[in-house]
Amino acid sequence: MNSTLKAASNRRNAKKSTGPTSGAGKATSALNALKHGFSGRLGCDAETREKVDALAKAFTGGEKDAPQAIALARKAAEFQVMALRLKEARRRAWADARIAAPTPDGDAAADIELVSGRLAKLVRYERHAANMRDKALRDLERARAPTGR
Amino acid sequence: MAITARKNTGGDRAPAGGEPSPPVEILDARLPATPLTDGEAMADYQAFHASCRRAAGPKDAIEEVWLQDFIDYTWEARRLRRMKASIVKSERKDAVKSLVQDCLDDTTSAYHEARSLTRAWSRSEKEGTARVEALLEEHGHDAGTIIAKAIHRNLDILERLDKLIASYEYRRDAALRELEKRRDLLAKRARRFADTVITDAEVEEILPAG
Repeated sequence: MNSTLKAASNRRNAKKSTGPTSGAGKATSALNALKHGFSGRLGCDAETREKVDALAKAFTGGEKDAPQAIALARKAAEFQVMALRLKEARRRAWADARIAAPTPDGDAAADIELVSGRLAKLVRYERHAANMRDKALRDLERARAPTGR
Repeated sequence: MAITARKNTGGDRAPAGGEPSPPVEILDARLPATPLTDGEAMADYQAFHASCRRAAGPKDAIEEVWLQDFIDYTWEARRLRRMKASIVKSERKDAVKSLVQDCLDDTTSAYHEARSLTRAWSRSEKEGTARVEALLEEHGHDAGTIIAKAIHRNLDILERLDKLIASYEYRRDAALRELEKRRDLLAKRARRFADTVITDAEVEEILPAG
């Protein structure tokens, strides 16, 4: 390809969409990851806060911990609540698919195909939530080490 | 299907201040996380759940979380393995029909004959089964060929199930590893603390206060 053609091709490609450019567009796309609620931060609604508080308290065993340990317990609790949401989504995937005994006409295979597609999408988020939760719990134990707990 | 929660009180140490542990979802879920499918029984799940709890003996909320992950992902992986097997099993008939048709002449009557022979084979009818087996053997096919054909026809879904199974088994193993590492850490800490106490006691014995 000669340089004139290449330059023309580059100019054409540069005009194609490279994402939102306006402030409003950028603000909208920043929330895309939160659409399904499985990545990014948890919601701030009262019910979620209550669950996180209860779990964080359970992780510290109700004992008076240093601020760092409390923060880690809270972080672990947030990711556990996320993991529970993902578990609920996994439950819905199974409930929605009609998983019956295998039949000659292949309905079961179609149902398994449907549910496995949804599970495959969820597993990535489940892995992330569990990894972050486990790291926070490990850090919590290390933070408690000097007190011999 | 709802996941019932219960208070995390079974044998766990009470938190300081004597407050009961707050009820928290899934610290101990006696119901499976996902609806049971064909071939699964609630009694089996609960027996599995109970034996895992007995073996692991979770001491606190943190260990409960990992134990529940272990139970959940083990159950899910097992379910998917069973489904893989059921797909292959259900596809065997079509695989046999396809192989038999290949063995017969490439005519319309061959298609109908293959269908009829396969039906007889799937019903374990003596004559039909013998004819199918003889035909397949004549062309160098055996039970392995049937399974291979059934798998080949469903390669995509079986591969996807394999990936899911690998993910779930990885998470199951990760949960177990975290549980073991934490217990090792707590045991080491207890040992260090005990050593300190013993050493202090020896010093006090040798050099009593005052």
